[in-house]
Amino acid sequence: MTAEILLETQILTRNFGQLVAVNAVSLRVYRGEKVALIGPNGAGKTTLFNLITNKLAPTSGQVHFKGRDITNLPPHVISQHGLARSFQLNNLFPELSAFENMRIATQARHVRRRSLWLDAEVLSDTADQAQGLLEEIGLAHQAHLNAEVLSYGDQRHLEIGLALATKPDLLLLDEPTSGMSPHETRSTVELIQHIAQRVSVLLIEHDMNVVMSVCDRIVVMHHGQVLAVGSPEEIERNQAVQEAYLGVAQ
Amino acid sequence: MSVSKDDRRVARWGMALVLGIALAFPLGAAQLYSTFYLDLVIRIFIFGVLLVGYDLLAGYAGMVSFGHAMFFGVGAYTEGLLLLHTTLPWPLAFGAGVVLAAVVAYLVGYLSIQSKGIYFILLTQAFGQFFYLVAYHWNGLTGGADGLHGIPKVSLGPFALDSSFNYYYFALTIFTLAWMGCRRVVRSPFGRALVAIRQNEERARFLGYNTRRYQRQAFLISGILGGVAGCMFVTFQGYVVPDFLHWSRSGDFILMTWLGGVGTLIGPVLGAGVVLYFGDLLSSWTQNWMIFMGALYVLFVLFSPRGLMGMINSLRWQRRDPSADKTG
Repeated sequence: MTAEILLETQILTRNFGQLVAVNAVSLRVYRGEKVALIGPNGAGKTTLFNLITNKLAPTSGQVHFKGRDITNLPPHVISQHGLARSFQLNNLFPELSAFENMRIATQARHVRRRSLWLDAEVLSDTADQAQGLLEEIGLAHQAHLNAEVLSYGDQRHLEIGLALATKPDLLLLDEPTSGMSPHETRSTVELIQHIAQRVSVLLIEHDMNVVMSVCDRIVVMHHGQVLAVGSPEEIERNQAVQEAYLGVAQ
Repeated sequence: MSVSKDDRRVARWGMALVLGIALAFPLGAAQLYSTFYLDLVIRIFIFGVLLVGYDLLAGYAGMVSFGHAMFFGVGAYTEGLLLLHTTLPWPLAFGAGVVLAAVVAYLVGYLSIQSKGIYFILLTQAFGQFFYLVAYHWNGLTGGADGLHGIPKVSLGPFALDSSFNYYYFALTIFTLAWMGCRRVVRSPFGRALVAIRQNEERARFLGYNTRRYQRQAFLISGILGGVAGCMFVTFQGYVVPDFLHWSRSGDFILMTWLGGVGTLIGPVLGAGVVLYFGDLLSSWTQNWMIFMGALYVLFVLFSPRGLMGMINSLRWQRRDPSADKTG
């Protein structure tokens, strides 16, 4: 593969006291890829996301994004470089409308975002983008509702939408379908497939149907380490993975 | 959120009416009512300058400072000392007071914003008390408990600020500028981001906002307006005492803000009107007037948590067809 390496972690490690939550993880995501990060509960998947986006500082190791060392950059700078994430638990602006949630997210990329003097309504491009994104995630009709009164599934979509609104090169999605009904899960899969046409995706997911229908490569984590990397077919056949993960799950 | 054209027209006429009354108000002093009320309104404007800035910080950015009297005091003492002991033209003394308040606000903001919630409140209070104690104990400079007195009256070119009548227009102008400025700020991308940061700082940061920087800026603006208010006060009253830096003064600002309606800018100014007017009225009847103010505050918190502005707004909505609000 000659594609550009978007994200690369180098022997990334994080200790919590005696526990090694993420243990020397080295992985790559190439531009255009849709990679799934799977593993049993407590494998260190969300912690890895937190290390990549510097919500947590790593104990050792490095994170490179688009060829730049971003290991110790503050989260807002990492975001400005084009690395966005969604959260496992909905992490929205509860008392702002769905539209304003989205507009705040698109405004974060506007050159005049720090202006004290302009009327925010005059930044029409941020409003137009926000409206377009709401249509994409299927929330155009709920645009005026506060985020806190949206249904759980709609909140999950807004969660993804906010990350997408920052125009990332790589989108880290942390269990986008968690807690969803089968119907909601299907619409989320369609949404992610649609999004993945223009952004690279690294996805934490428990639902193997979602993984199989969205991703072209899978990274399996277990006890903080990378257990296996490969295509969905390779991972399905992998003996160690079956013992560690699929065996338990089934 | 969006407002219909009718609402805008009503709002514009309302504003014009209020401005007209405000401009004509001093003409009736002494004939229609005692000049005491003219002075009262001037004090409301002066504290109003501080309060619109305070509301920007507490109401919009969600950072409840419990030390805002320090900026008022730093501005007032700096200008007062310069007017007493130097021949500096007063606009420069005024400017120096504001600049020093800004420096203090930047430093105090920088340090306090490291903490959240109750710790932020306590830190701002501690910084405020530090400045109170400096004013109280540094006899040689600040006049100690007596404060500064006999600060000379000033004039703005040919416009002497020596009478309440003239000072009223000066205070009205500065207040209007401060209020309009803050209105612009809360509607700007910066102001919208402040509200988002108040609701969910972590998410704002992960969307790419340097949240600390926004918070520091809000604190700075707020402190500057506090300094402006202090400088206005000293040129109006001609004195300043350490009491103006006491933490209970900072508490008054919180009281005024929540009584009037937090997060509305003009609400806290109405709150100041209520507190200053009833404070004067009640204190002429009884020494224990604070009991009544306390009861009033409790009633508001229980029955109208959005303050006076909340009451005014709910009256406005009731008058209208409720179905009209959905489409607007």
